[in-house]
Amino acid sequence: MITLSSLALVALSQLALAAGEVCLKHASGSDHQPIPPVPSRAAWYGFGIGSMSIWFFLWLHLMRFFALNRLFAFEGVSPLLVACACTLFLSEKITVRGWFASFLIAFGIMLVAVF
Amino acid sequence: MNKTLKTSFDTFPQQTCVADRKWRSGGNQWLPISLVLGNALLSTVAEVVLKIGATNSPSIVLPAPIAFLSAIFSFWVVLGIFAYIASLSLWLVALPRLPLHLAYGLSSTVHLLVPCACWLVLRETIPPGRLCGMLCILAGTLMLGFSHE
Repeated sequence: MITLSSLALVALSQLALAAGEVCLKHASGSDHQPIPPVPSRAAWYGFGIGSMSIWFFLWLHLMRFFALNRLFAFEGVSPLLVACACTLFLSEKITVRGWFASFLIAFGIMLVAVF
Repeated sequence: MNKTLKTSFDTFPQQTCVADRKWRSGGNQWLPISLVLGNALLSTVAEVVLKIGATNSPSIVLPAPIAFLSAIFSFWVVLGIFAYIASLSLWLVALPRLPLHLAYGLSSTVHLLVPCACWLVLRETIPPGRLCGMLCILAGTLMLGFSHE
């Protein structure tokens, strides 16, 4: 059974995953930002890998208690989180269709959680 | 007008990500897409073997405060970690070549692959309602992937 504390852990793991992706993309350059100099780049890679390590161990912990196909559905929320993070931190432009697609994924996750 | 154009070119970052420029200029798009799909496939393998490793008892059990790290001593978990490293390597190669929201959208095909692998390998059941949800996720993922202008 999914409890409030396990939901909080799922949310934390997804935030760590989204933060990690943004850090890695920031290190490798983006549409509106130049590739940072080497020391700064290494730091962004470090933050990214560190953040993704937090996600990994939280995810491994959660796997012990839930069926994988149910748990993995919650990871579907990450495209929405990453899309928000891309707009906020990387200044990427996302079309209306892109946002609609993100919400369709969220609706799919709701269906998966209900059934 | 010339002055305006010159100013905008001057302020444009000199070292903008080369791959994003290649993507926008319609360069070879199949390589990064293949890399992202390979990343999704390896992530699926990693998730399944990690699930096997997480549910089986590890060969060495660490004391209480760090007991959660015991899983590292399982063969399946180690295999899963290697699959994740390979997957992450493909992701790091693909990432500079595509905008993040597009790459991430494409990599979300993993949400269809993992439940299918769970059904095939782990014999987990997928009720019809959940299958509809998975199809919505897939439709959204494809739409997100191809929404890039």
